[in-house]
Amino acid sequence: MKAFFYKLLVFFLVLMLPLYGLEKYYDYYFSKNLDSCNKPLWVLKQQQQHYDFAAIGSSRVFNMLDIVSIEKITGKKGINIAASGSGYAENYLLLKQFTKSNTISTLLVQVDVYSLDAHNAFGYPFHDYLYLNKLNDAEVDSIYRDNVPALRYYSWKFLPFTKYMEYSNFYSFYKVMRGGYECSSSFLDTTKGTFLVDGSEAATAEKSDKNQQFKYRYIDAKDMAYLEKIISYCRSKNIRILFYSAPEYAKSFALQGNRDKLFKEIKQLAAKNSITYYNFETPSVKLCNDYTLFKDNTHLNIKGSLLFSKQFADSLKQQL
Amino acid sequence: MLFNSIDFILFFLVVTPLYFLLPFKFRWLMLLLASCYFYMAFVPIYILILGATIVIDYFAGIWIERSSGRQRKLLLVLSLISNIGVLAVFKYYNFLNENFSLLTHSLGFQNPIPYLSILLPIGLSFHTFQAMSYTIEVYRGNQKAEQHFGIYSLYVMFYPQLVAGPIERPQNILHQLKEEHKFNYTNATQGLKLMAWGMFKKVVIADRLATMVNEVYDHSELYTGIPLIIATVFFAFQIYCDFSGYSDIAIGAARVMGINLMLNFNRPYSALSISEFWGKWHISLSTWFRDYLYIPLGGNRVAVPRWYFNLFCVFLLSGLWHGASWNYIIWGALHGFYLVFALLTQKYRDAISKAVGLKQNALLYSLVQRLITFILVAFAWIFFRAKTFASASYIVSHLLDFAPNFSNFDTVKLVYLGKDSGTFLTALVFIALLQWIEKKQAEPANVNLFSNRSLPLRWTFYLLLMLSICLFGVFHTNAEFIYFQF
Repeated sequence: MKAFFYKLLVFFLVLMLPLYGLEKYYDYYFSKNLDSCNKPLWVLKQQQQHYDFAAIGSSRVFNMLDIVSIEKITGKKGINIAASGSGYAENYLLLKQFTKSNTISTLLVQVDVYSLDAHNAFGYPFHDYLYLNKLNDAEVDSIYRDNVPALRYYSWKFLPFTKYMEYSNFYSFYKVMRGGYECSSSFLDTTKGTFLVDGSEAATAEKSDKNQQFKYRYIDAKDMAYLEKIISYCRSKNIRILFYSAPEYAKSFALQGNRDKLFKEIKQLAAKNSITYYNFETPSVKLCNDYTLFKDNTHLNIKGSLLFSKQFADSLKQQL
Repeated sequence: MLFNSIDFILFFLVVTPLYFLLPFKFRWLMLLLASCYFYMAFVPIYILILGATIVIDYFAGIWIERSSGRQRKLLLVLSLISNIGVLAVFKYYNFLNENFSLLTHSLGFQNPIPYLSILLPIGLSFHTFQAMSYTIEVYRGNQKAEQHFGIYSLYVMFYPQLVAGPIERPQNILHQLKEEHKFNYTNATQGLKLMAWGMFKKVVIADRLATMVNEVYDHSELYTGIPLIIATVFFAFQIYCDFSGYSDIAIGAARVMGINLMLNFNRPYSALSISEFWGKWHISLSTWFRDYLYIPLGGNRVAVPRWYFNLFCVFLLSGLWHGASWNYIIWGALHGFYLVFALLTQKYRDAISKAVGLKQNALLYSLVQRLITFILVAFAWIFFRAKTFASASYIVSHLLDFAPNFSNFDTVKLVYLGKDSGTFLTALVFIALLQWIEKKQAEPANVNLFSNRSLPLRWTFYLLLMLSICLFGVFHTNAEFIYFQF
């Protein structure tokens, strides 16, 4: 039995060598060949730029905040660094990586009942497969350790190549052989990171509220901790923070249990940190009551997004 | 717990050494607890159903052995009813109710019987059939009733074959579970090699083919002709590699511990006829049906019409065993039809082959036979894979529609089934490699195709196998084994 285990051990050590080499090559290769059509990877591709403002959050920023409109009105240079379905942990990672080679003066942080409860509201709040090649970076590593189940994290960390094996469709061998991604230039360059979407599912919701169900929303401790990390990181980098809540179709407010309590806490957090807070998610905001401006209950369509971005830009004029 | 997961690798790395390190008297208990843990990793509560059938069959076995005559028969029937009852409730109730609803609806009234909101316990058909084979063998006097409740439980629950077979016979495995197995170098290396080969078939071939097959079968209405044919051929290899891969891992995991499970696949696509195919495909199930249904029905020792009926009936039930849906029943019926048709036309087919000179050329004759058998099997797989009867009908009716819609011509969709050429061509290369290796291994001179080579050559091959798994394997968390659902 001893001889068997000895041989087995030698075999696995020999196997680890090419796997280690492959992991290093993949790390290098995928840090140089980023898919520009993938939003978070597009963000990481930006280099040596200064932005007067950047916006961070989930799809309610990525698909709703038109940077070009804001730039026109304010005359300031901006970028949308939000990613669909991402929670504050991923936002924090993106912000830190982005500011390693870029600078920003003001950060617009979208806060709402979903982003503070991302672990329940989003199916995949931390897109762990996107930043695997940066796992050697101590900051990225600590975020992974905090957000990835222990078994996966330690196998990725200590068993060479397992991280790429798990996402072999994304990090395909053919991509490496073929020489990278086909998407070398991106529409995101033109839109400054925004992707507006059209549609009118909210019109259906107007007729029937069965599309959405009542749900209690809570502040998830982990999401709140990462929002606080974003605040203190910005402080340390001398980046000014502004909070805002993007419009949501007013009829869906009634479907959010604890809504008032959560918004009270957002206001308290903003006040505690002397952060200006713009709330566009109240029934008094006209936009929220017009279902023709919504793609679905939580996302504005193109017309709505342009209207909202102009309104927001007007408010921001004095601040930026 | 899936065999193609890190969880299973860790589980295996703990359970196997523990098995050899523990004193013999505790091994069954450790294996039983490990098997419970393995099963409960899916849906924990369903262990209660498994537990209930184990208790019933354990006592049924003892009582059957002690009784005789009508009472013996009655006890067997009660045990079989309890097993089939569990299957009926969890697997067939909603299907029967749905069809009853269609009937009542066509007669103009509503079906008052409610539907059950239940999940099918994983591997139910496998362990139920294994449990039934025990009571039947005890009834027939071929197997002594097991007195040790723990060993009997382990017979039903032995983790490598618990959720997807092979469906073992008590004569083969019960005594092995009671024997002391010392660590054996040959068993351990052979077991690990079989596991690695099974993993290669599953994650490199089956799961990669699945990405293309799913693209076509999930949107079949977008395709006609060649892509439908390619996807169907790919599915034939996907299901083979998926299921035989599982069996290889199961057999390998048991062999490392010195326990031999029965062979479940033997190069089924090399079969020269449908009847030969069934002697090579899911052998543990086809022999189960042969031993416990076909032969008791009279087999071929009855009048010819009754023989045909027996054959058809067995395959119809085999289809129903796979799933509660008309598609599976049609799949089974098709195989039954193939067999009956083959018997009916044997004389004429032989005459035609002779007349055209095919029989004189043995190689060409066997090639044609293999090809026809494969086409028939692959055609039947359409009903097995399609989600609905409507989808299967569409595929069948558009299989030979070779006019592509040039207004919407998309090479990636039409030729590469939604994937890039690399994925498509690699899949073809791996299928060819699989066929070559399995053919070579089947030749008596090459039983140990790699084992008898020099150490550097062997290790190079094993390293390449492992590296292929790492580089080309698909490790999605939802890449379940197809046969788990049965």
